[in-house]
Amino acid sequence: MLDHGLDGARDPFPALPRLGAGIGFREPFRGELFLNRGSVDFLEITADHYLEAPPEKLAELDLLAEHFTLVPHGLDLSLGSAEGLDDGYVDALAALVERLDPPWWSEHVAFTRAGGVPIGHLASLPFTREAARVVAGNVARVRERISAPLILENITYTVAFPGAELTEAEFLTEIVELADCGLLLDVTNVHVNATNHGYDPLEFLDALPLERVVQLHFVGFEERGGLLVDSHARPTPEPVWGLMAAVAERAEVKAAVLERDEDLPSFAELSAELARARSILGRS
Amino acid sequence: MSLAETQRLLARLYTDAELRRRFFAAPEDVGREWGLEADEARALASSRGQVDSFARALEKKYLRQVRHLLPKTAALLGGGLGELFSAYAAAERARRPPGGLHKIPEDARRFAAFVERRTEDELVRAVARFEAAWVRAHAPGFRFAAGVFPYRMGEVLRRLDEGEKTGPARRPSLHLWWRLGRLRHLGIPG
Repeated sequence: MLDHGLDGARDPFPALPRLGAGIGFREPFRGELFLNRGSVDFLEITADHYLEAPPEKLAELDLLAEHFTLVPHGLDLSLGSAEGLDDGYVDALAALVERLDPPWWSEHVAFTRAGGVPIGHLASLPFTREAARVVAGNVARVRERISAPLILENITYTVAFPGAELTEAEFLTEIVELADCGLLLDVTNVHVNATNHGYDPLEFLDALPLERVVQLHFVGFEERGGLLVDSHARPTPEPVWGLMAAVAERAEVKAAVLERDEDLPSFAELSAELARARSILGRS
Repeated sequence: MSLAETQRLLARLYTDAELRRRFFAAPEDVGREWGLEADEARALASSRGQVDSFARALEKKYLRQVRHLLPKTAALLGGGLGELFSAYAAAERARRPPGGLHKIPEDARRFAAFVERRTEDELVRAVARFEAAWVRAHAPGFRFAAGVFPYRMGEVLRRLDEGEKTGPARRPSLHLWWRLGRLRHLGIPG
């Protein structure tokens, strides 16, 4: 059961602005986005789409930046890589973040490449102290190039490595405390992992330093082959709304982003989800 | 085994079906090639179902990304797309995975080239090459490309949009792509 008592350290990031309810920018709804400008508080953009991008993509970025606060969300920094970071990627990312001057930017607790092999997706790390130190070390190296605050996202994981020293919540806690950074808490991923790996999502939240949650991600999922998959292709379901509310009661959440990627519904439906998220964050 | 070594092996297991097959058939033998102790190999082998599941999801993701960039090629290949992509993944992609900032367009171009080599259907080859040219034209640093195609490609694409998967009469066309500021394209029917 969550402790709903007051916490004197509710907002360790007072300088970060409250952005409200935003959406991950997707090209297919670009036109409707501008027609419904008032229902979207800010945009999260996929950083990788704008790294060394052709002129049309940069023009799109500039147009979006004229009308919205943009928060870059990276996919391929591979902060969990024990080999270290790709300097070329870091340089490109630094140029993008400098161009946008966002209130923060985000990446994942994952690795995406090793031994010269790009995996092309977020791969899970073993829940060990060594892996936590690797992530924190890479965060420190990134901070030497990118001064904007970095927040880290929890991913869904299929592979649970044997020999874990920590639970997932302990692992994430170790990382954000070693790195002294904020959390991008994906509450859909919390629900998916809790269901697939058999634990209580509320107990998971209890074990996290929720005061470090800066932003949330939320969206729907699907069931395939008896497991939940974070397909980003369905409306946000009630269990995920419940987790969002549980976090908002405990933390000064600055923002929440709807990550709908596939099977896009009408913009009215997306706006309705943003309105519900905004209402929940209003209790934060 | 260090985390770095573990990740190197995992990256290959996730992306190389042949290595995955060999490893799970003989984890201690193959693991030794990668510097694993016997107990480490057995521990990793115990995650076979999860590793296989993640690898399958990865290949589906690669295919989805390529389909997005080569939609007309995908439409023409229909149900054969998945099998052809798996063949490409095994024959080429696993040995030399596309990397860098533009790995997804690179994957699409390489797959289109694989399709051209593997299929005898002239229409499929033409559409794959045409779409790959568009992918290349959107790459940063692109300046100019030209290609001759055995069909009037505008007509081909229109027929495909209408659900017609057979080609029009063979009539060559020359296509030019160039960028001076904006990307431009010109198709010149023969």
